[in-house]
Amino acid sequence: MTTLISIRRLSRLAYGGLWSLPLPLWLAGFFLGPMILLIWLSFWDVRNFLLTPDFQIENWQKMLSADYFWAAYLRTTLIALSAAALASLIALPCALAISFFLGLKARMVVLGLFVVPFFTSYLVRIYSWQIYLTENGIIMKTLAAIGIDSGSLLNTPFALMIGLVTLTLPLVIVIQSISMLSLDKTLIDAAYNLGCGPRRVLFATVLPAVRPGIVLGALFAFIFSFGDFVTATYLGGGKFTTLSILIADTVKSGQQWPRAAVVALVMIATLLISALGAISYAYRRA
Amino acid sequence: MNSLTDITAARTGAPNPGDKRMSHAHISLQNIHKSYGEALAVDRLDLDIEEGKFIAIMGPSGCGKSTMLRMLAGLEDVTSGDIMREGQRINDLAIWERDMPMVWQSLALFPFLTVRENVEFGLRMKGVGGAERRSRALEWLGKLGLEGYANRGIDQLSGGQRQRVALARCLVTEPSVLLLDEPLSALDAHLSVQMQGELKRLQRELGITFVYVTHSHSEAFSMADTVVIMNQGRIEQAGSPEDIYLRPATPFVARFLGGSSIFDCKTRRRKNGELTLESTDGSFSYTGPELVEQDEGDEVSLIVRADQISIAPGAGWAENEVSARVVGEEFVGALVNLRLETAAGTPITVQLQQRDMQALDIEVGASVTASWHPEDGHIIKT
Repeated sequence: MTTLISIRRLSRLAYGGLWSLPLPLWLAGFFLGPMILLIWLSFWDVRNFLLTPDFQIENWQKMLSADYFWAAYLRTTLIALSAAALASLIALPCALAISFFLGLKARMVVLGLFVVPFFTSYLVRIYSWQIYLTENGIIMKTLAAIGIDSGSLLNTPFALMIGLVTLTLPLVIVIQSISMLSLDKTLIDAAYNLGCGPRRVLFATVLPAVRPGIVLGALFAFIFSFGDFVTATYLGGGKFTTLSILIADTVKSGQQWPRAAVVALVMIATLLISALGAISYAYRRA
Repeated sequence: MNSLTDITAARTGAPNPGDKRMSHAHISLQNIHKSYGEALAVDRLDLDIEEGKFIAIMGPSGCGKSTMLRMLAGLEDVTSGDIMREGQRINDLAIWERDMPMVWQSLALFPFLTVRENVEFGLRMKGVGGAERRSRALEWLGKLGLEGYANRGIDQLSGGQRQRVALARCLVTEPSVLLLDEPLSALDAHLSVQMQGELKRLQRELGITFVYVTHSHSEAFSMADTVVIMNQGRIEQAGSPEDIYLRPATPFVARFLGGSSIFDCKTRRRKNGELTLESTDGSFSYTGPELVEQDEGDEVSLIVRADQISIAPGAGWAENEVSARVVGEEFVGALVNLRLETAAGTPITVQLQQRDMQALDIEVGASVTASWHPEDGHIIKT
């Protein structure tokens, strides 16, 4: 009898263990491992264009004291913040309309439409923007026809914002809509009941109540824009050196993998801190 | 019947609208009709609510009680009829213009605001300045025993504390009417009883009108000055708790309140003036207060309360005696509710003291005789 019971207990343990195994394995193999490797790599040396295992802090000193690094850091942060703010601002009225004015069916259709862009490659979408924005492209020609000389729109901050909003807007709209749809509508009735007219209800009740959704949407937009390479390269033309472009350049020029690792680690640390900050702000009580 | 001066309720049919308009009641619902497409929620309802009274509206789910409250608050449109307040028609006033704060069943406290900010919300909407807002909110939090909780979040409070915040949020603006939609249903029994006492005390001290919707008998009867019982969008009866308990106006009310036995009878007048009621369970004598109102051959319901019936073992066939079988028993503290069923299938409820029950030594399945005094019971024309 005792063996039977212990076998049953064992098999139950094995069952639970098997199901919970993939996550730690995955995290160890594809997150923790590479992370340690990256940190280690940032202390290596490059001799005669050859990576050499070492333990020296010269890479960190070099990068963190370089003006071009901090310029790129500031530029990337500003671009990502602008893109996150822009996407959130554009998404807000869309999400409000989807959540409060559309019927159930129409809502499903519209939310579905916002998922469709993910079916095509981001790179393809950015290339098609190039056609619109390029010199003598459709937009420039149309503007010229009504007497406005816009010059090439490509490689401008405007083009950067177009590309990053293309990347992030659908996701931000979906996140904001979900948080608005899960809002307890009684809260709005309660606000009305306490004398809050329809003009004030948005800022006094709806927006504060869906703050987590708005902040998380902006956070995702910031994270995607901060690390984006495609838009910076194909719509910015490399004119705006972002940290991603800096990584690519550092690797290409002289096999400086350790210095690229330093940039990557600074980026990861930045995103980690912004994510923690944003989440604690999102769920902070008034 | 003087409680009916507090409240006039037409149970069926359209009342004379001419004299209804003259009503000087605090709040007056006049011939209110509410339908959702084909479905009728409130059916030609009239109700006057006197200032400073605690009125409880109860009924089974779907009876229209919540719809009525929501129409008062402006959350639902009225299909037809008038809602009057101090003689002014308020049908077209928007929710935010009505100044009738509501305590919601879900409480609907703002999770993104602190306790104090929740209480300040109504004042903020009225444009009261920051310092005054703050001191009035703190004053009300104090009155409701929530000092020291002002800067907490809603999720850091217990159920009873949230209840008080919801009350403070409504009362801080000093309204003359408070609407309450099953506010205690989320609390456990003990806390609910405690809050009932506090609500009644608050209402009495403030002297404002409470319109309280509930499905709980104990809440309605323990707090209200006037109880309104609704069924299928209409008012079955409105009156003082005592009046409704002693003299249910319809068989529905008697059945809804429970604890009574109902016999469908036909009246027969005897030479000595007494009334004989013929039913499928035998014939009963009646000498009670409604004696004179009955005509020969009326169809009536005889309602006998559980505490008016006594039982003895064995069967019997005298007047006002019914033989029945015991089908169930429920122990409620020192009392026992005995459920009986007659040969004709009529359910009878008898309330006994625990020790009498033991003395009788009755078990489920036993045959007993239930009897009552001819003066007891209450007759409703059907």
